Amino acid sequence: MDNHSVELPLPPEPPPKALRIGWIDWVRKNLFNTVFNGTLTVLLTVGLSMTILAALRFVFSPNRRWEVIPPNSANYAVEAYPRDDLVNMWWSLWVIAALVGVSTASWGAGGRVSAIKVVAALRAVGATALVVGVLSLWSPAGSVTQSVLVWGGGAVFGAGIVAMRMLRQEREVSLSRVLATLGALLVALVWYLPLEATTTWPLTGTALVVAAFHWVGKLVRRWASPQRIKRVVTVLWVVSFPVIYLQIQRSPTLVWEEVAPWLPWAVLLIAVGPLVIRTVSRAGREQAAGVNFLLGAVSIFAWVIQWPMAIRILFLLLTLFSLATPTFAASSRARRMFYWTWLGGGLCTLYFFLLGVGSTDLATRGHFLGGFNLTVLLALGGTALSFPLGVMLALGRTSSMPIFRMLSVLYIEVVRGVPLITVLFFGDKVIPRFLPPGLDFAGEAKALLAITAFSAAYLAENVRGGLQSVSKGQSEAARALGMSTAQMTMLITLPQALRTVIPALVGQAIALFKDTSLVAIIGLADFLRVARDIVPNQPDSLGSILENLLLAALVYWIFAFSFSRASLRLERRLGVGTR
Amino acid sequence: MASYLAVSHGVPDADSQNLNSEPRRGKPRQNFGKLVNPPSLAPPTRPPFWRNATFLKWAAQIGVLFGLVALGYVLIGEAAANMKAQGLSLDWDLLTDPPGIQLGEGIFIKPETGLEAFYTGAVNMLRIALSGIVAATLVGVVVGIARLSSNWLASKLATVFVETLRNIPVLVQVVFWFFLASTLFPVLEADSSGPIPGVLLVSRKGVSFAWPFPQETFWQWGVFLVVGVLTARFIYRARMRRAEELGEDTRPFTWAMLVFLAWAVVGWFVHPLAGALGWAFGLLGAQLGAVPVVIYRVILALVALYLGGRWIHRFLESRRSPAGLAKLTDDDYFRMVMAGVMGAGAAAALLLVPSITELGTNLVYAMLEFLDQKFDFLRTGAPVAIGTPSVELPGRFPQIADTGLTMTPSFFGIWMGVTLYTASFIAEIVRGGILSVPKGQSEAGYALGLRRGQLLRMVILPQAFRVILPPLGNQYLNLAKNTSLGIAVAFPEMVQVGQTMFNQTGDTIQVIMIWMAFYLSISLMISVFINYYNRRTQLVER
Repeated sequence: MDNHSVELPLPPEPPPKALRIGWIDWVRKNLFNTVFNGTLTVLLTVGLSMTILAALRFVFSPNRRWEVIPPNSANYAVEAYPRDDLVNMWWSLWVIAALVGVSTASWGAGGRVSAIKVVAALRAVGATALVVGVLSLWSPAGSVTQSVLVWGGGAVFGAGIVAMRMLRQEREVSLSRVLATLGALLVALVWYLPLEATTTWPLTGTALVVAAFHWVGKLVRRWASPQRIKRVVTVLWVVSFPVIYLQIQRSPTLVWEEVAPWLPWAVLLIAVGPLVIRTVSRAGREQAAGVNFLLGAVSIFAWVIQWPMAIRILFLLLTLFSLATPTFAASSRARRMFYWTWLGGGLCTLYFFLLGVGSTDLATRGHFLGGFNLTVLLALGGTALSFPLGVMLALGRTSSMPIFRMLSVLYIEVVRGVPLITVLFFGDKVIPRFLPPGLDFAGEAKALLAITAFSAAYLAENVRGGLQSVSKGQSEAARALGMSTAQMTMLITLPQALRTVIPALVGQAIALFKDTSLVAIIGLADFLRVARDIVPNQPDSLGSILENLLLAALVYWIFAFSFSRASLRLERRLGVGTR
Repeated sequence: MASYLAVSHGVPDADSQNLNSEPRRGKPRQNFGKLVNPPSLAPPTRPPFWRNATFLKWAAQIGVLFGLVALGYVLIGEAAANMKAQGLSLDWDLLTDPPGIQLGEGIFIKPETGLEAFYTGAVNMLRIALSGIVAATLVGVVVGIARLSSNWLASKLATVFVETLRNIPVLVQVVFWFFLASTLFPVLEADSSGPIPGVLLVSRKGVSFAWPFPQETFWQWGVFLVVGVLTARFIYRARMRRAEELGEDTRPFTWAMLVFLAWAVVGWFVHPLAGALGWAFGLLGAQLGAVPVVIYRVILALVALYLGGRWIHRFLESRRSPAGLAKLTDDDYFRMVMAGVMGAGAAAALLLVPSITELGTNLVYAMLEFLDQKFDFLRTGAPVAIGTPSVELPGRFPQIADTGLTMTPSFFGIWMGVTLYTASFIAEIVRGGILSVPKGQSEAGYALGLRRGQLLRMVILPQAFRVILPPLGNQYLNLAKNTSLGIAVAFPEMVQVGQTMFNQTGDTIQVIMIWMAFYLSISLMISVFINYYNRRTQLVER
């Protein structure tokens, strides 16, 4: 604002009247402004009408059997998960629902959207339904859906037009209220679809859980700072996925005889860890080197003699922590963070070994991953696991150490040069060749490994782009402050690089989500395989393949499309390229 | 590898002072040191090796490399033992043995050897990849421009096209098109003639359409086409120069097209004249074949040495400032030694292993012989004949005859899937490229009185092309790799053939190695091609 506006006491300008142009003007301006465009419009209209009519004839044909889909919803969601233990799956969903509730409260609370936009969206939905419904009257079969489309769509469309006339331009509604209405509509849809009561009730419960935890999240905001809540919720999200897949869904039972010999030692080691870190951070350089040497020797020794695997890994971890101490535990505050990191890492390792070695699980009764659940696991697990590997490869590729650089380049270029399906076959067929006879990983684990290895190469290229975009002054400044290479990378260059490439990483995650469908080829029962092989080969729904494939396409589309939209918003909020 | 590691390992110690490993205490201090510091604290000019950053870096690298090699050795040993226990071996018999498989379509439907099977798969893959790249580019460019169209309907439809197709996994699309073609298309009858008789035949056994097939005289006519393109290019440039001199429209494009068409039309009738080339190729082949291979070996070895030396020379030149040679790091030495080793290694391999050179020379002889056969003075007839789709009745069931160009349902599925999926990405790239051209450019174009089409052709697209090209190359690579999804619809491309092979023989590792070699060389070829064009368009810039 310049100074003039302060001096002149002008009356506030009235808000500009919405410019309404007649629809004839609109058509002339946007569809028939030139001869070429007019011809194009006519041709496209003819082509579009024919396509829509053909599509409707396909959808409403008496040969289509859309009714086979709802009874197969459990197959789509979890495939062969033991039906007696389905409550585990609901628990997983409820945990996520609770987190969604809390997150919407802490991130999106107080968000408001323009009422006009909401009504316009509703009007568009109504108009689409109306058009589809009316056109479908020309197609072979009449059904309840058609009348729902015509009358419901018409009602929504009409109400939308009326509401648009009545609403003021600046009227806003709360975002959470809009979302709640949307949720209620979804619940209504669930009850409308011919699902069993064992599905409808838990799904309704999920909606209630979201609502309840949204309210909890709002309550918590009264006595905790938003920043702290966000941090805690982020950690909960990260922790929730291993807990869901390894604990809730796998539902392991601990076998004490397996664990008892090494469990006390492992606990002792975890407890001693902070002492070691404290000693190393306070000792002089030579003493610290001595401790590190001792730890390294013990951890190598642990692999030579027959110590339990958990102890070996914990010793290795402790050595790594001790080596990293001078870098990350210099101040007392940093040291406190470092203690917590050690305790977290150690306990996670311990938990992993308790689950992996000392327990039986559903897997012994048959494989427990399948359907959309497996697709989500592969996408999330692949993204999470490929992240550290990809960052390491990117650092290697930009490093000044030629052998590391050559190895990284070799890995990245080879993996990027071959299709994913060959990497999946490599995992499926070649990994067992390297293992002792008779031992093999589960197909799901091998696929996850292959997807991780594949995705890491692409992720490395994205991160490399970010690393190269960090200006050289940053690393020079870090050097001038006396930072070591590790400190400079971890504290200065890498965080800035990662911030720049967040949109690219989200795009990569979406691509990975779509690529997980390839595991259907190597015989895993993921979402696509359920749609392509499992459901259409059941006696009740024999040959209904196109219907099921379209459903799969729709589900994949909804997820990929909404993620890409979210990524666009994120990009705009981060202001990449403008800051 | 050990040799150059040792060489470059020695180097860094000599100039470790340049590496900022211990830069804080240099020589100048020593003059004061005697006054201020007790002599015992005087720092050594060179740190002990366990504190030397260069040494530590190399130790870590060699350690990791050693570890990886050791790991690979152990794993391969384990794999060899396992395979021996299962009665498998790591030999390449699968390439020569009869595979006992049958392929859906291609050159060898019942291959006699594994090599023939893979050859069929590779050709099928290339058919999909090349035709898919052309089609995806066309569709993508049209849709990308349509998204920016001032026609509301066109831009909305283009948006729907892009957002729908790029958010559905390509495998789902491939499978969908395949099942669409094999369940919803009309059943083939003996009297089927398709939606457009004589041009397009659509049936559950495939889609067949009219296509100009090259005949045996096509190569002779092709010579005239090539000469026509070259002459047209020359005329185009000449007319452009004339336009710049005179400042008026000299219609270079019309001229070039007319010249090309003239060559094509004349060539159509006089192509037997080009048959003389067959004699020339035969003579050339005989002359080249008469030269002993050892001379080629020496020439190639010298070229390899020269390339290595030139790389090192250019590298040193790039490090040279007006004041002289800049200080080289250990990394720089490593690069130069590496280049030298690679050049010398290639030269040695060429000299010592004759079969490498023979492979190349045999390829050249085979090509010359092939060309020799394609040209003949007495060969006449139309170079191109149009084949139309038709149905034949070999037994009780009608089949699509070989007269038109036929896509089987498998081919249709994989082709539609990868083409449309890639087209949606190309459309986004084209749109982004056009948007990246500053608005001032089009305003200036309009101010000069260009029409919209002219503006797009002469101002916007040439500039957008530079932005579009690198990501476009990536999409071509993706398309080539996505052809591997043919396995999901039983289309016999490389991966499907390979899987059928290892299901028969159990030679998984060999098949995966063949896949990797094949796809890596395809990727390499596409990226070389794209880089070449990229460099050319970048050169135009300034």
